[in-house]
Amino acid sequence: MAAGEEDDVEWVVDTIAGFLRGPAWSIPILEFMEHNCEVFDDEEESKLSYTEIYQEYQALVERLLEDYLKEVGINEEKFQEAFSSPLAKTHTSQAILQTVLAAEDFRLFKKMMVQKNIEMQLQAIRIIKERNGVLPECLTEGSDVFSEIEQEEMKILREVLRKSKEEYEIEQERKRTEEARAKLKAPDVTHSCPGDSREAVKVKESTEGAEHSEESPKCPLEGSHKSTKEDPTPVCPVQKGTENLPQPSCTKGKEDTKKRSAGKGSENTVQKAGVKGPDLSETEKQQLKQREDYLKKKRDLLLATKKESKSNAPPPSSDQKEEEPPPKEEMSEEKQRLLQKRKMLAEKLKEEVINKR
Amino acid sequence: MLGLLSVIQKLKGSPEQELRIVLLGLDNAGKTTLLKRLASEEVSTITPTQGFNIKSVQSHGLKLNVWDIGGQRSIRPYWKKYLGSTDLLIYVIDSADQKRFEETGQELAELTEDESLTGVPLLVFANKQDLVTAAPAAEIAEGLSLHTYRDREWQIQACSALSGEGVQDGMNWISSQIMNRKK
Repeated sequence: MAAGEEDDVEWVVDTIAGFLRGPAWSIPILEFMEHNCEVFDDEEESKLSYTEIYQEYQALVERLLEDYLKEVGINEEKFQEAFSSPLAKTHTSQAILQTVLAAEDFRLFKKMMVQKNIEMQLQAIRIIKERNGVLPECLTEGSDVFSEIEQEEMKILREVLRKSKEEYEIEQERKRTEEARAKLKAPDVTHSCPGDSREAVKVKESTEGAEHSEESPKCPLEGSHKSTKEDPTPVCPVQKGTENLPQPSCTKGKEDTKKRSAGKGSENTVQKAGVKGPDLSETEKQQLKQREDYLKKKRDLLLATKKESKSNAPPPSSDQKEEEPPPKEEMSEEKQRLLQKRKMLAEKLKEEVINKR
Repeated sequence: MLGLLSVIQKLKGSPEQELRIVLLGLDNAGKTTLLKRLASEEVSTITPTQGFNIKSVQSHGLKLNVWDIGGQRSIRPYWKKYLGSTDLLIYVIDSADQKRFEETGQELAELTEDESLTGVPLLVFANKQDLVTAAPAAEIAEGLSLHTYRDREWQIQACSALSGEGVQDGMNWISSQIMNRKK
């Protein structure tokens, strides 16, 4: 009898732990985070808007849990009994529970959202870099003053981006040869692999590149000295158009940067904090705004692409978080290897950057 | 609310009791300074709070999660969103700002009428006693008609969040309140 009860408890705990690992839980949670993380920064003070988002999150978590319990026929009593037993501790981990606990712990929630926001920014930057070869000036040296940590972060980021670009070029090259070969052999060519969402982003973005340059002519895509050096052949079709435009704001910004980076550490923090700094000049404000707009655009695009790939993809596997969609069978070995390498790089970058904070 | 989650919450493995304390008062009363003082942090560079701050303070074996919400007039309507499941209310007053005694009294009266705070103990800090123009705590208590509060425990404590004087006395009262409740 007692053994039967224990089995029952174990079953309830395992069932719920399984649910928390699965897509029915992780997809709506991840989607919520991606859509709402934008306002979360790592300032000590919290914004009033966080509270509203937090309450929405609480409601979402509660609804998902309740619906699931109803579906599998676990009543609240059984649930309580199961999760009060010592088994609950041995059969679950903090990692699984984090998204649940965040609904009862505002500070944990905030930390999670800040982290997600940083991840999204990095992803956006990577996509920009992949597309252009270089980052627009407003995203690199421009008007920004980097702290030591940030400079190191940028170093890592640049390295990752450079590698990623190289790989992309190799891939393109290979594709071209393959295509040529295929044309000789057969008329029907599979152009892009549906499983590779990066590919989709690239295609989409390159068509939009022209628009961007028109919308923000003050944000030249020439890139900084450094990144230009690193990329002897920048693939940046919009450069020419912007070069001739007057760009007094950026030039000024650069001079300011030089002056400022000579000293005054405290000002860096103000810069970093952005909007709030009362002693920002008009140009600096403008540049910050530009940068914000640019990133925002990228994010929206990213979100749209993610959503698309989610709805197109077959029922996703349990471990959806930040993973590339599973490679398709038709993917060549080389491609798989490249993807694997990229994933590792991204992981490393994430670890380095986020853990430092 | 969130009955399911409170069960899972236990798995987080912090055995100590956690309490929620809300810190309110007009702008420039010294709420954030007091919060930082409680958390033994630097209090020299504090700017007006546009949103809110949270800090955990250990006191007499209890974990106090203290929520400090900005006091500017435009933010005050948001106060009520933070009152749910509050164990104790701290209200901070700038004792030297005589012109706004009436305003702060009104805000406090309105707060204490809120359903979420029914029966919740109230600690009033008569802050900024380091200023020569500060009114004594007794005078402020009278101005606030604290003696008419019969449905809750209350206490007024003179203090200076800047120097730290009187702050510990207030915390001792809080602990005694919580101990009494547990019995």
